[in-house]
Amino acid sequence: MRSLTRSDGRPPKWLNGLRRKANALCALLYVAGLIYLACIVWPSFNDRTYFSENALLPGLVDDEFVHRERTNTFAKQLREVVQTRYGKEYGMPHDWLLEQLESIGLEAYAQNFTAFLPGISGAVEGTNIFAVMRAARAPSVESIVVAVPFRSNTLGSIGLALSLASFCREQIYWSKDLIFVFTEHETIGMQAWLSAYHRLPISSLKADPLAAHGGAIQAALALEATDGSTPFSNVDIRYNMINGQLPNLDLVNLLVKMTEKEALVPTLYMQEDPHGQDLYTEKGYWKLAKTSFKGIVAQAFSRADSGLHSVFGAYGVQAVTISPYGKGRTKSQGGWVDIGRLLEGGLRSVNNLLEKFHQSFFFYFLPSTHRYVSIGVFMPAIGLLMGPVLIKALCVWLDLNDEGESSADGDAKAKKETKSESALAVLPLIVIAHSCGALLYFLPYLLFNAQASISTNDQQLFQAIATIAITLPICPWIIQRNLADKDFGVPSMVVLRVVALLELALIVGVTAVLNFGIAVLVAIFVAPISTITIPFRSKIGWALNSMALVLLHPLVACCVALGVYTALTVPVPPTPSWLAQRAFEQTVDVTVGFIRDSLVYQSHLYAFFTLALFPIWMMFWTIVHHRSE
Amino acid sequence: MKRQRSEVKRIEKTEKTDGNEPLFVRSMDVASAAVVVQVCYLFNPFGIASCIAMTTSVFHNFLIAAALVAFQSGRPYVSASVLALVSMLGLYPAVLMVPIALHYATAGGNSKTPFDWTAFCSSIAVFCSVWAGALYMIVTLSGSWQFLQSTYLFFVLVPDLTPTVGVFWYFFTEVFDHFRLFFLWVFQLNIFIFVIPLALTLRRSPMMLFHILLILIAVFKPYPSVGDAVVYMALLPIWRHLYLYIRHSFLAACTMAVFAVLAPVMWKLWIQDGSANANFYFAITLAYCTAQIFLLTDLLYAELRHRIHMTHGIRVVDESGTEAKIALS
Repeated sequence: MRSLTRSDGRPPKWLNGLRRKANALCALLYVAGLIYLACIVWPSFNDRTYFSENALLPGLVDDEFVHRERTNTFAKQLREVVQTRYGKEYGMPHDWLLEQLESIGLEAYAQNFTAFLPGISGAVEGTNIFAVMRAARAPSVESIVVAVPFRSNTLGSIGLALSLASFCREQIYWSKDLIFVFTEHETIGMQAWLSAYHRLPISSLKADPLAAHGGAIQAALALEATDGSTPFSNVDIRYNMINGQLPNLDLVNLLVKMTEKEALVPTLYMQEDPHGQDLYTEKGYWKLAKTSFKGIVAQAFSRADSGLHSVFGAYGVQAVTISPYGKGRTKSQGGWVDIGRLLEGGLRSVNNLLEKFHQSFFFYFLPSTHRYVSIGVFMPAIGLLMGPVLIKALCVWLDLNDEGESSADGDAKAKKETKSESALAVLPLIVIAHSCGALLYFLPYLLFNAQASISTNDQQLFQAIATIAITLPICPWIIQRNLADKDFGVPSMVVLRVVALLELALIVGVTAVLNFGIAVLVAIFVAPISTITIPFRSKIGWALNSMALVLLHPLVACCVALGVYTALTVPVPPTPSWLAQRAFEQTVDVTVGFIRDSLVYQSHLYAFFTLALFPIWMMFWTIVHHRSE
Repeated sequence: MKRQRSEVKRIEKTEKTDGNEPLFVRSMDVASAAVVVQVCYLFNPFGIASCIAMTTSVFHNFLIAAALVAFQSGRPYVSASVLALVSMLGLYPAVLMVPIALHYATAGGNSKTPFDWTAFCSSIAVFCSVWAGALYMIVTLSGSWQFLQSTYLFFVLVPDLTPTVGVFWYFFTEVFDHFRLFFLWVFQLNIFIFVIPLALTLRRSPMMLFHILLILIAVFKPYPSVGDAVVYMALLPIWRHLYLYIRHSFLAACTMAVFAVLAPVMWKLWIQDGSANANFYFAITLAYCTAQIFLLTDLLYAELRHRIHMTHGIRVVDESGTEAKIALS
């Protein structure tokens, strides 16, 4: 308490210094934040990965999976069945799978589900097939899940999973049940299975209850090799889950180690690690930086399309997807059997666990498969990037208080009245800004009613949202025209500015714990603009400020970002009109995708943009377009 | 020298009425305070949250507000009875009897009137007898004294360590069994021991004492909830004349806002996702307790400073004419 005010009640001395140098300090902190982010990728500032959970004993056992013939037979038979029955449509042969699983000796069941999604007319129906292998000598209180999605190009993976199931059935050392799940419609099926397993119903997903359970799921491994030709050379390890959640780092490290044990190269986001001697060079640095950037973007905009593991996070289950790819050089390595041994090693390690994964980090990002950046190292970046916002809010608040105190005593009363009245007058503006955000959030659910047969397609949904999002900013204009200027004098805009800055800092700070990727991206782009958003008097300042804010409007920012990304990744330099069209189409996809994700997977990205960021944007828009006479 | 001194005193006396308006309570503030307090109570997010959760803190708050109304409208015995009911329910609001008894004993707040011990004791006697009567009724209705185990002994012995927004649970998960009784005494005494110096300091300002004790109870109860904070937050607008001297309003308000958003997030990360652990949640509830303590000390400081300025004017000048600095010693 002593350090925050001096004993006579006046602010401490360092506060005056802060207020004098506020602008310089804000700029310095922001630049320091960017430099900090660039620095933590450098290997000297982060650590090599290690195993925290000693019980895992990774890679200590000899792998015994050798069933090449069995794997090939299963895969070939599956291909034949699918082709004879469904031809090019690649429907899922449920009864064939049930039959095979039962012939292996497992309890095999089917689960039906129906999903109602906006933008898709009619319901999406499907059936999951799952089999439970009970542990021979242990009570069935815990389980490990092996999940494979059914797709036209995952037939080989399904064959491997079947043969792995038959192998596991013959072993006696399992202490946890193994559950093999084959899902239809990929992550929608997985979400239906999980919601039925944990008995947590989801409104837009009608999933039949499961006929068998296996206890608390300790870990889940999803296999998703595209049917490229074996031998594979690399294994892509995907670990980003919905809402920016990440599995325990021990699980990721385990699979990296298992991959290397089979002489395959583990990659993250299809990026290989820099070689040993390149680690501390510039070439290595750019590789690390690229993987880190892809990691942050993947965590920020985590959709369910990276693999079946992405939906396990909401249920507190650690899950990772293995995706073998690439062209191996020798036929003796990288075949299906090696992938099977990789999975076997992973399953046997998880089998050793005494407690659920809790030792290693849950908040991290990975510049390479052998280096990690933990929360203690990357969180100061958010502090540095958000520091300007907080300092600005503090300085503006103190200036507001000083205006009241420094005037003569006779005016003190009048000034205090206007300050408190303007503080109250700003309340309607805040309420309106948040109501606009709430309207935008609830709009898709109002338009899309699962029970009725009203269904809108993608375009209509997006048009509705875009119309509202673009016309809502006119509200502050209308309000300010109709009410007298005395109510919204400059002091109230200043109070609104403090509220908006504090709310932005709060939202970004809270999101940094939940989903670091989106928090750091918002901090990098929104923080500098928000500190300079003031009701300018000059025309040029007003115009520049308006333009910057327009670029920050969530829809516009999305469009611009996707346009930039497309321009960078497309091999041929595109024409501006084609680029604009592509960016627009992708914006539609992304927006509707966010809405679908929030319905099916309980993803909070749409809520973040509409309920959290859009009201703050509206408040800044109100400040910039304030009419002062 | 003498004439200079008397001149200075006369100047002070005339200046007293001129520049000292902010010190006084204005009549329009009193009128608007009623509406503002209502609005603050009805739209308090913590109040709305405890309504949605359908907790019994609604009843506690209602009874405390009723006791306050009776207290301020000059009915100390009614106030003591209602407070006995609240104390019967929650035990810790019993400390609120101290400001009520003090008010009845000083009867108006003028520092010249003597302390009326009979009034003090009679109000406390009414409080105790109503509480005893209510307890007797419970014993006759339930037939035994077993209810004590589930009510008062539950508060005192803290057997259940479900995480709350208080400070007890985290500490008592770690304490060794042979020290448990000692720490129970220390933690429970925390509420009652601070009443003595606060009552001595604020014996002429029982309303401020009541308010401060509300905050104290909300922080140091064994099983607090955010619903306990609703009443004292709603009462803050009545100290309009003290706003000049409140120093940490910005910090406390920001901390409360951060707590309101971050506590559910940390809870979800710990319990549902399994990513965080108890430390994350305890850290944010500790910040909440700290914000409440800042508010408490701010109110106390503002009240004491206001007293000084009421006797010496808004600008305290010493004999040489320079402005004096007022330090909290």
